[in-house]
Amino acid sequence: MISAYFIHLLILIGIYAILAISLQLSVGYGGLLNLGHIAYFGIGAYTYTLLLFQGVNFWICVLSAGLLSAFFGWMSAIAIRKLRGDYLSLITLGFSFVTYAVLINWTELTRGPLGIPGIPRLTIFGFDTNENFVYMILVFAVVFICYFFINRIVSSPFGKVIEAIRDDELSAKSLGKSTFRVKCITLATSAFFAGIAGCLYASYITFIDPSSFTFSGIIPIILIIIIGGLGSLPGTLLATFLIILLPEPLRFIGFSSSIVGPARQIVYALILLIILYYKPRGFYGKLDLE
Amino acid sequence: MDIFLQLVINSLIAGAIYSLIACGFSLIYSTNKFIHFAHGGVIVASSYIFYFLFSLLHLEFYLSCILAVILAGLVGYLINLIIYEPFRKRKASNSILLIASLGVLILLESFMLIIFGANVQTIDYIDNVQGLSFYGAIITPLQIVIIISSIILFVFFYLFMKKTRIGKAMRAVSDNVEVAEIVGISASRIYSWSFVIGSMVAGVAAILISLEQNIEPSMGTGLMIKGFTAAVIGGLGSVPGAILGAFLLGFAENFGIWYLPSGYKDAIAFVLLFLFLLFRPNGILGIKYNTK
Amino acid sequence: MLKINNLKKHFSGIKAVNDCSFGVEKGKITALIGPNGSGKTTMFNLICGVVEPDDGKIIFSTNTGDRNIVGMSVEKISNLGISRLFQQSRLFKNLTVLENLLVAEDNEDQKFWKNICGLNRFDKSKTEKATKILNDFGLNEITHLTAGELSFGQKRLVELARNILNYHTVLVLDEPVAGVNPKIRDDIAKIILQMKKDGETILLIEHDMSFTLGISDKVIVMDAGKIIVTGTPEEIRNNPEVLRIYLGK
Repeated sequence: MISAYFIHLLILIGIYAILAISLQLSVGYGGLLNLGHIAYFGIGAYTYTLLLFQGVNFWICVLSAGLLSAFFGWMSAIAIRKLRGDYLSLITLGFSFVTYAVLINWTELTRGPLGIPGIPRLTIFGFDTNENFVYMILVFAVVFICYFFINRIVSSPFGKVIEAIRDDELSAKSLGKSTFRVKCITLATSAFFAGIAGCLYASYITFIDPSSFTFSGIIPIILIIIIGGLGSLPGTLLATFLIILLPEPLRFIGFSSSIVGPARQIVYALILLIILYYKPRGFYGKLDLE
Repeated sequence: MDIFLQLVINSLIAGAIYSLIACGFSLIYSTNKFIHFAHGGVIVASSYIFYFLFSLLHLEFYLSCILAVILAGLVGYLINLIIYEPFRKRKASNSILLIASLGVLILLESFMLIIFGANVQTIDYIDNVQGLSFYGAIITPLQIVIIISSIILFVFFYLFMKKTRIGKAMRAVSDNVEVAEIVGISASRIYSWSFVIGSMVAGVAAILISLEQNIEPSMGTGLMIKGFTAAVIGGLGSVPGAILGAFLLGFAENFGIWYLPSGYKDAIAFVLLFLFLLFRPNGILGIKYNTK
Repeated sequence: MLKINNLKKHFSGIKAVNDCSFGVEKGKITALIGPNGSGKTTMFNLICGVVEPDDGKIIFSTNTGDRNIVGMSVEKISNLGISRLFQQSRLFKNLTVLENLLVAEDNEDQKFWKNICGLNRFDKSKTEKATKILNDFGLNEITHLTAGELSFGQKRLVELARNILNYHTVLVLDEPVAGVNPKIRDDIAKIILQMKKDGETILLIEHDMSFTLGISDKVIVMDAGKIIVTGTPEEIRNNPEVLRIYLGK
């Protein structure tokens, strides 16, 4: 039997894999440097939780969480309609910060820094997900769906248009592609899956508070997609294992918990800088970030 | 009427601080052409340097200020030298530099967190002084100092950009690097100078923030966002625009929280950023080179 | 086919295109020549919607009647039937040569759900169309190379192929032979002449005088934003004004 700790790690890896694969769609394939993924993740988690406590049907909760996140992804594309890619980073970073601020301050809705405890895990298709092993299977199933769906997009003609826009937007336009619409769809799809990952996270931890969705959480996800290689989905999966397992030894060194958090951030940030410098294409990447 | 005047004063103070951040950010962006998110980290680091010098080492106040500003410049210089310069040598794209700067921001914040702890620190210097009553609104001497020192700084900054050789070279590089290099300006020296100057301005902002508010390691991102919001509103890459944008932002935030709980300040800034990107993407001054 | 009426565009005081009018006839090759900075590329940018004119009209005959295309987006103008070759190579450099062509073929690839459900694929008929033109251009060996790896001449040929595959009624070519070796230059000349035989309408900018005069039916000479002369290649060759512009005073 796999140990409980190991199952815990596998579940986390699954959730991060969804985040990373969906971010890969916008950054790797679309060339859209979206830094708001953590916000979509948080919006998904909160939407799911709040609706669930209102007694809404589980599936509707999940769908609404994804769609609301997708809506915000769409909005960020609208904001940069006439602008260079740089601005997307600005607006999405700003968005993840403001999402955090709203989660903290809108106490009537989110209970602010206190967070929302006691999120129930449900029985899905007759399987009781309170068992962590069962939950792990559920997470893996969602990872599979997400992988399949995004792989389907990028290998379809639509995916080639996404890539064409990344390589040369004006050129794509002059071949008659409405690049704005394609960018909207790309960012919205990417955000949709981040929202779904949020549902899985909320229901797994059974407690959410704004501190899980601070903007610095984007660093490991970006790290994963760069190590895995931009435009490579299998690479992304592999890198997720690597990056989530990497800081685990810190836990056993015996640092106090107030040090472990920042130490993990430092480890991630340093690896990010080193990878960007020595191996900006990651393991399986075929292209450079422009 | 009292409230109105008070809000105007608060807006001016916020605007003054934001404009210092936006100024440095804009200067670095205009020469380097990539988004230096770690600017927020430089502000955090400078605040803690100042806190360390003044509150822990008990150095004399003005000495601490001067040292903190110089060290802020040094931090900027080192970030450029150790991180960005090697990337540039590898012909890394601006997106790579942007992600690298995110890494640096996280590094700086995390180091401050480990060294000084997550607790909020306060620097008591001109505190506990009775505020001056000004037609029913209260303004503390410190706040007067903030406004005056930022005005002085802008004048210096303006003269620096217009009159000195380095300032002129910076403007040349921000217009067109290739042409600037042809006439014999070393771009890498100018990059380095803009980091030093921009970070020193950020250092001043950091001191004013530490005196006016409390400091904590996680404040960098928030300040950074205010800085670039102001810069975008004003027209990214234009220093006068950044100053204008900063005051507009200060007013919007402070008058906004007349109606909304104060926790929504950040949301107001973001909504303003969003609206500007949507309807006036080139900023108030409408400088055209932002679009494709 | 395409009528330019009193088109004007100023860039901060410089009159890049100053009150220009001309027409492009169906089935003919029209060439726009002139020294560097005379406003040719700006003219193309205006026609394709990359830059909006300050004043004037561009009337384009589509199958639904004449339309003024000023103010339309680049993609709209392209879909009405103007296919443009850029002056610099603008291939999608991380896509293969074949994929570059497939993207140009139709606009079904923009329908998200249709693609997800597998109702639009790069099926045999699409690939065959692209492979055929690659074969015609002698590019069959580089079909699966990434566009970024190609030599400059190959890039130009692939781009030309891409423009031909893209839906169009007029081809707008900005310096198709600039910087390519003489062999590819001749290949491209042949391709353009063959296209004319097939009844294509072409508007061309070119620096290379002998190349241009050799293939075009009508030549428009621009200088400093204005149209100086319009005529057949013969007339242009013997026009003293043109010689003055090209050789200096």
